[in-house]
Amino acid sequence: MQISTNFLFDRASKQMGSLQNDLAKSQAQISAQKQVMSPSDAPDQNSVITRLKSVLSHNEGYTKALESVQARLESETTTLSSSNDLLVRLKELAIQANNATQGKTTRAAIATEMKGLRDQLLSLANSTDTTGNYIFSGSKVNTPAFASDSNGVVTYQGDQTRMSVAVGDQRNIAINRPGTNAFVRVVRTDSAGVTTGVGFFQAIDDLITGVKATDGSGGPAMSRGMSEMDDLQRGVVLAQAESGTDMKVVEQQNAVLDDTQLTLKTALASVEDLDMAAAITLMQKQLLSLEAAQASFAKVSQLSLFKYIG
Amino acid sequence: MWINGVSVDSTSATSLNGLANAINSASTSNVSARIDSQGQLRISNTTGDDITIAGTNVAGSSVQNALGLTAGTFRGQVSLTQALTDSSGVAITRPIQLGFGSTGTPADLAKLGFRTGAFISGAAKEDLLVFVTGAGTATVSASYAGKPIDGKQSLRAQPMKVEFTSATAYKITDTNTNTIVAERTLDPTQLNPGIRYQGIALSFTSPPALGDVFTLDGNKDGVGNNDNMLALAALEKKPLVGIKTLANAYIDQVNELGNIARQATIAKSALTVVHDQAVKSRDELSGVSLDKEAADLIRYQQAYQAAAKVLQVASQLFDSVLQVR
Repeated sequence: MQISTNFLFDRASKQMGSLQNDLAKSQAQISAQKQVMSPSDAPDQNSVITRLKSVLSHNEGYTKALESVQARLESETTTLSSSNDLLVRLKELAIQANNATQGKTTRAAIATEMKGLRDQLLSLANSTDTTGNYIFSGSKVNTPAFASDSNGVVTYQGDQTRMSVAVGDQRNIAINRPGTNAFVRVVRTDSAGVTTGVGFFQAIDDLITGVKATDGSGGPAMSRGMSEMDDLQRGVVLAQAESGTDMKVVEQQNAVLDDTQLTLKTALASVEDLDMAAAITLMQKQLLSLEAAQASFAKVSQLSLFKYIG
Repeated sequence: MWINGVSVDSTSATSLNGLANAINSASTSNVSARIDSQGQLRISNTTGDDITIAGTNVAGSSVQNALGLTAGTFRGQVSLTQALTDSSGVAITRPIQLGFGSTGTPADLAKLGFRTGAFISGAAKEDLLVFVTGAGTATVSASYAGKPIDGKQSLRAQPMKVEFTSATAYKITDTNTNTIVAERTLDPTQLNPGIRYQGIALSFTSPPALGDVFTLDGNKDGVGNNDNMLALAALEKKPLVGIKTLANAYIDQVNELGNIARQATIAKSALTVVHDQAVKSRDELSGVSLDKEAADLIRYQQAYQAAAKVLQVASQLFDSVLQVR
């Protein structure tokens, strides 16, 4: 069998080329520390990897959403607890004013402080979150939740929308509470037996008016106002409790997401990550065979009859 | 003439009053006559409900009689009147009532000249039930025109207000025209108290109370509303490509490509072997081996040298021959 010189060189360069290729691939795998560099390397594993990565990025999104939900709920809870403090003080003042020892002047002073507290409550009800959106306006985040009309009557201007955010594949969390759910109305029955609904701020205003107008011992307006204050406070406390529950849910959901994330990452690592020891051994072997090929080629290519005839 | 089969001597009467007196004198006919304030003769039953009037000649003939009426049986008319105030000047609020009695039918009302259909005039409470019972035939027809509406769009054009008139009753008002479109009751004790109206559902997390007013509009300025965002995000989980979600379809595409690339690589390495074999076979026949050529070269060189040597020897032999003298 005759071996042509041309074939000898061709084959040597081809074989060394393919060895170089394998070596480059091993090197790339080692430097990226990944098993699969392109889908064609291992189509089956690649599909698992892509799916796992997509679920992982979902979970990261959910974690981000949870962060903003938490910020929102925190500002809500803070507002509600401050409102509760103000309501406690308002009640204190009402009890103080109801005392028969109070006169018109002292009651006026008490009413002034109550008015201040009421204004403070209104500003709390109209507080905004970190992005400047009104917390208690439902979805009308650009509209203050409560505003007084030309007659000084404060009405709710938001809507009843509860916006929810996906914080898991099957879990949505409401991020807001309509103002009327926290700053509740009271149902008032007047002396004639007619019942009407009275807004949160209207009830406080009526109490203040009652305090101002009453002389001598406490009047019916004040005792009515005090029982209404209980209802108002109950509404705020209830909203506070709900808000706290939501925060708890957020925390739990965070823990769930963390666990899921860990599981997914472990699964991904087992499929995607490179066995470094095996990879480096393989690369050493490839290096060795390349070197051998090169050395042997150098020797073989030197062999020529022409060297001896000259 | 004859009234209810009793002869009335109308020929001797020369005036309306005379005629009335003649009718009244025939008391067995149970019919009385009087002249009303407009100067018209009114005859009415004292008992029974029909008045049969016949001509002077034969009972039942169609000859005109003294009253100028065609002979026949005439139905009575019922007129009910009630004073607005009683004798002491106090307003009477008791309504005038007509009843069928225990055996009456709506047809009896028709005899009295009433419409016997069920009609609703003016605004009705919108939940209307019609029960038809009993023997015989009845016709019920109802008409309804409309098409399914998009709740949000219709609310934008026509906002509504739900107003609680008590803890259990509410009315729905169209705020454009301020008309009450429905009045209903709500049971706040049920698990999820809610209101459904024209495809719009309103549910409450806590029971409503008197005075609560809910305005239902198209949420025009609800800029914080993220319903659309949530719907967009939900697209991700929807089977949009056949039965696959977008992400899954993409992953499958990539995998398919990877598979094809893999197959191509395998086919390439298999075919490379075939190619190499072919090249080798060809080169064995047509290729050049330098060693072989070198060997040939030396052989031919040596042959040449040998031939040259022959020539040299021949030349020397020839020279030797020439030197022989």
